[in-house]
Amino acid sequence: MSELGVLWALIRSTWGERLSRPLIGILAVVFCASKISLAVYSHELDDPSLFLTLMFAAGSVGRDVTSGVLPLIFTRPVARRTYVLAKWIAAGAAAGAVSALTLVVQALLLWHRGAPVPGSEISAAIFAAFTSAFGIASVIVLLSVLVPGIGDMALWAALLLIGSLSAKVAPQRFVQEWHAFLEPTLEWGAASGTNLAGWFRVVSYLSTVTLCLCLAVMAANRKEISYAAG
Amino acid sequence: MPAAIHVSGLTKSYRRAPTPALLDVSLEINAGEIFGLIGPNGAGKTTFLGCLLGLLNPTEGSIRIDGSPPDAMAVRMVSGYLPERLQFDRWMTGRAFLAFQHCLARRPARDRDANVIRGLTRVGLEPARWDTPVKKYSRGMLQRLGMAQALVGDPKFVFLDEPASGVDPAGVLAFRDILTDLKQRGATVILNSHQLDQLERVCDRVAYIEAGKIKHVENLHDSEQGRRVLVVRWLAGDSAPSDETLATLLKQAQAEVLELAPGRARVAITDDARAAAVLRALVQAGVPVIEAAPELGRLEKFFRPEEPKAKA
Repeated sequence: MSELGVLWALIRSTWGERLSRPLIGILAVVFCASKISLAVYSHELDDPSLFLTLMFAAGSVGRDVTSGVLPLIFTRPVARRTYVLAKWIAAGAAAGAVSALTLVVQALLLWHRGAPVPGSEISAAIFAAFTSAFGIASVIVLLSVLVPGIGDMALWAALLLIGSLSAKVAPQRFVQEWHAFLEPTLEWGAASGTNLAGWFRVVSYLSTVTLCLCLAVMAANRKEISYAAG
Repeated sequence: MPAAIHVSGLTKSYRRAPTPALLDVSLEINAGEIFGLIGPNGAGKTTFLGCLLGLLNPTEGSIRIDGSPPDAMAVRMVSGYLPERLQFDRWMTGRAFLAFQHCLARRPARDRDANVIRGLTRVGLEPARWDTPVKKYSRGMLQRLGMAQALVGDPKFVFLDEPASGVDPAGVLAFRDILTDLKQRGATVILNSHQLDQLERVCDRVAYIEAGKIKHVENLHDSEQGRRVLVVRWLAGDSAPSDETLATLLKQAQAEVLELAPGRARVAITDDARAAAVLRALVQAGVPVIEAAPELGRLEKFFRPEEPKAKA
């Protein structure tokens, strides 16, 4: 069994765990339906990736720590980086796919109501939804390695609040970067552009995601897993 | 027998704990040995197991399993672990859970179905429950499934933390058979348990841990201070010799009679040759012997409060 096989098994297990929680399914359906209604009303595509990613990624690692399944996984020949990557891909891919599906439904309904959205705009929205999903998932997975349960959500919300409150005293650029770090996303316009600003956005996004994943792997490698440690 | 696990000067301290959980522990566990860990609650047994599994980092000292650190992939490829507080991905079925563990253990996918069925059968889990979600399993069924996952891939090193906890008597017997099978296969088993009689039945050696230190390692194959107790049972009735005759027979076989009752005797012997002599003497005298077994309870001494010394 290759490293990829193990990665895929962990991704499927993460999806299975999320799907086994009816509350997550209900919240996702309700939220996507509300986003579709808003889009139809406003005649604009409305990206649901932020909420969906938070929902799919919350407690990715922390729940495994709290529930006690982690010792079984970490005594297997599974590299901790593989485990962290699996959590990130599972959350990012699920949130991205459901967001993309929601955007497609929005576009179809708008077309049906006589307000068609250009294909390029739909593609750009789906691209942004996927980059947003994978970007935010990397941040949440990092926080999830650091705190147990779904403490990652509380930590993410607290960091976001600190960023907003610091707007009164800190330079505007700092606040922008702070928010960009917590909600990394990439617009298709920036990614496909050849100008310096576009390249900067791409590099900034990729470096944020890479940094979060590297820190998450480092933290996971240092983590002690045992109920005796508590 | 070559040592498979070397522990040298192992100390483990937790940040907020006033005293170390383990203090300068050194130990060698031989290949193919069933090694027990006993001790009072909070003695450091689970911490010791956590360090052996590479889940906890030693503060000082080192551990080598087959010459490698415990968190090396080469060690994990040949290890199985059954935790005490067993937790599962409760949405999975028993069969899916074992297949998942088989995959994580990096066993060939072509063998998966056959190995999963073999594993579930081996621990005596009813086939009708294989496809039931784990969340509907009883405590004993979970423990059986836990044992099955620990044995995935026929590991060379098996770490068991209270394996028979919550298991019915049939399960306890099945687990004992599994341990015997593991021993015959040459696997090294580290067994943490409070069930002293079970440990006495299966272990080669047992370490008594107290306050983070190994106070004593008991070799259960050695006679204790030159003697051990044999319990002999026979069919009581008119055909059995009188107590006086039996006492004389046993003394002639160089056994010290500790207790003599109708159909039963407890005798102290020094070695296996004396045990054989006792049985031979009884059988030749026409005593209908039905059972002879070493008396259990050898590990209990670690947990009995010391008797006050007599005043001079």
